[in-house]
Amino acid sequence: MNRELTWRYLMAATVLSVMGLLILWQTFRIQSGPRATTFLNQSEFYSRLLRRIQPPRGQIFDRDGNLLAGNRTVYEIGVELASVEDPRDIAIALSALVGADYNTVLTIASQPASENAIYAVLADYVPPENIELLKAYDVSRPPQPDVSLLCSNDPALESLICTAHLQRSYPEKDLASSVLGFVSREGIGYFGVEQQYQDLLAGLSETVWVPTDPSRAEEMPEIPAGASLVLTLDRDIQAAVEDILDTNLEQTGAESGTILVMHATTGEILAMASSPRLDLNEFWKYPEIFPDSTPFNRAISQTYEPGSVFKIVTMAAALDKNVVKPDTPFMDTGYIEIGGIGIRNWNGQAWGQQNMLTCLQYSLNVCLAWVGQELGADAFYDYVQEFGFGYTTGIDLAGEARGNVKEPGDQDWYPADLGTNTFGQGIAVTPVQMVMAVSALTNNGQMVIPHIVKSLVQDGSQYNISPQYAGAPITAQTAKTLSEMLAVSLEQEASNALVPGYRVAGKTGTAQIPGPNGYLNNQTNTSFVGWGPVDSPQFIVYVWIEKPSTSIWASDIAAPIFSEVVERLVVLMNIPPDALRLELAAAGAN
Amino acid sequence: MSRTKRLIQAYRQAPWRKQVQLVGFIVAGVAIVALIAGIYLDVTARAATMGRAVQSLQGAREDLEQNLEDLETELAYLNSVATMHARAEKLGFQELSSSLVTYLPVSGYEGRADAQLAPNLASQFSTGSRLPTAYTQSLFDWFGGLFKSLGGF
Repeated sequence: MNRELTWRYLMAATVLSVMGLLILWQTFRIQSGPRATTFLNQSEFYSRLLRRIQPPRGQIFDRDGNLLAGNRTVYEIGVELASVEDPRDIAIALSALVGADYNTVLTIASQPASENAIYAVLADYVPPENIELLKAYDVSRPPQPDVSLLCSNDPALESLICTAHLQRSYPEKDLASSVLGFVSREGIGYFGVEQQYQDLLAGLSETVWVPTDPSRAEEMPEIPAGASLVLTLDRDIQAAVEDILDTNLEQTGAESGTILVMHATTGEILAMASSPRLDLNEFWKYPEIFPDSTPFNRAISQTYEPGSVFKIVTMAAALDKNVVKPDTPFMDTGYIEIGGIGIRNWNGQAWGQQNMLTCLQYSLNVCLAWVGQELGADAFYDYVQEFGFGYTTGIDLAGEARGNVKEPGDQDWYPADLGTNTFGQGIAVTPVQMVMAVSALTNNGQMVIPHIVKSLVQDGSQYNISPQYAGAPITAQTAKTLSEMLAVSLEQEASNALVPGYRVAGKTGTAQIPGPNGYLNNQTNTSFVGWGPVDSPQFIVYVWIEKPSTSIWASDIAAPIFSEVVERLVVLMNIPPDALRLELAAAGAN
Repeated sequence: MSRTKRLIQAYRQAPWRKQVQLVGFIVAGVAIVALIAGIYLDVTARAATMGRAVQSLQGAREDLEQNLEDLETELAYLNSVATMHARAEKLGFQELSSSLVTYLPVSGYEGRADAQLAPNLASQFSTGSRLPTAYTQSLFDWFGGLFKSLGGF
């Protein structure tokens, strides 16, 4: 190799080395120079995206797996401000096809693009049908396959971006609306199950950095979806009960009402109908449908004086305490004075010689006030407390009221209250409290807590929820005796509540309505609580109708509704008539 | 002549041999570096491709989940009580009253089962051991079992 060649090699090597060193030096200079932090921040900024991940809200099913609350895709329409050619085209299109306000869209789309104004939302919760219309806005151009984010193929609308997201949807519209509650556009549950189980249903929404580097794709966090709930509600029973309630409210000219159906032994709520109801897909109509302080679900939130249905509690306490027996005689003179207040029967008449069974059958206030007096205030209010009055039942629905029970020792309690409370006056309860109290009669003296969620589905597993009990205020013997008394009293009275083929027990309640100047004239709340079949209770039905205009008596209003509900219930619950059921049971035993 | 001296003499006679050797080493080094860089590039490119595929599948999964929710909700609308009642009425069906029902005993029928949307958590945990008895029984147990199977005492 000659010298000249060697020299050339050396020169080339030197130049290349110097260039390499210069590159290294420049790299070092950039990384340690004054703008190093800026570059570092920029590189970090582009390496990941800040994204808020909202997992899909859990679904809600009835006990048979029918979907009551699900999710459906809707779209947010936004605009890339820098790409807007003519905001008027956008405003015209969106006002015509999406129903957006022309001037609002025009104002937003006319904003000049800047560092702080890159993208602006023009409309949200737009259904897919409207997006299809928008996509087909320019029919002269064929759809382009790689523009899924773009709302329209029309060049004038190319700056629009449609982003899909989920919105709560209620396929049954207003069915069981008072139980389900609704979800606002911010994803917050209001009332009912949606509010009570908000955290479980919504899941954990997280704001996370998502790496844009494909080699770090596995770092994408897995956000679990919200839990789904299976309710104890039976969609068919719920629909039947709502239908009966609506029809009867119309026929009786009543202001409002509620019907509650609970499984007698498990506490599962099978149906809970309340008026008025809201199409949950149009939840923004809530203030219009529920003006002032109208309860969303009367079965749990409405407190009222129960009237004579409360006599069940008084008699249960007296029987349990051995103060009276079913055949204990009572001479009804039509008047009794307790705490300086005179108490009369519902018709103001004296009913003569009676016993405890007929006292319940004819719903005699004087007799029950006497029973309360014999029982004594302390024992009576102990039982009232043990039956759960004055406390929430613990039903898993948002918005449950406690009711109001005055007791000896309270500033506003007077000895006269003992007399009126025994027949359900001067005490405020909720329908669900009454049903829980009555469950002691269908469960051998043990009260079952009403509940609405049957099971919870999360992470691919189903968790079943067992019945919970709230103590035993009375003995099994008392429960059986009183149940029999109430069944016989209905039969002897030939009550409108009777159901052919099925033996039921229950009690009517006609309660006067307290006003600012005493009780209102000719206006009552009528109710009926009943259960059956008496020998093996399967259901408890509570009917409450507010201010009916065709009659003021529960025996005319609430009792027939109970009968109507039970007639539908036995079909939907597959309960054969008593005779056949006992025959089948006997055959099975043999 | 020693071996070292012979090498020094050979180098003095033809110094280009050493240069060729040096160039050879450098070329080999560059080739190795290029090979490693090539492999690295290939692996990185494949990882990036896979990463893109994962990202794309994640997006597709989100789309499918959303689509599934849409379809489930759509199905629920089609099967809603109001729709089904309207369809039943149109087909001439009437609501069944309790007096029209005929009950028949069906042995083994337990009635309608409640919705089971996922495996029950309790059923996923077996209370007994999942190991075959051979792994848990003692020698005496085994002998006992053997005697029993042979009809012994």
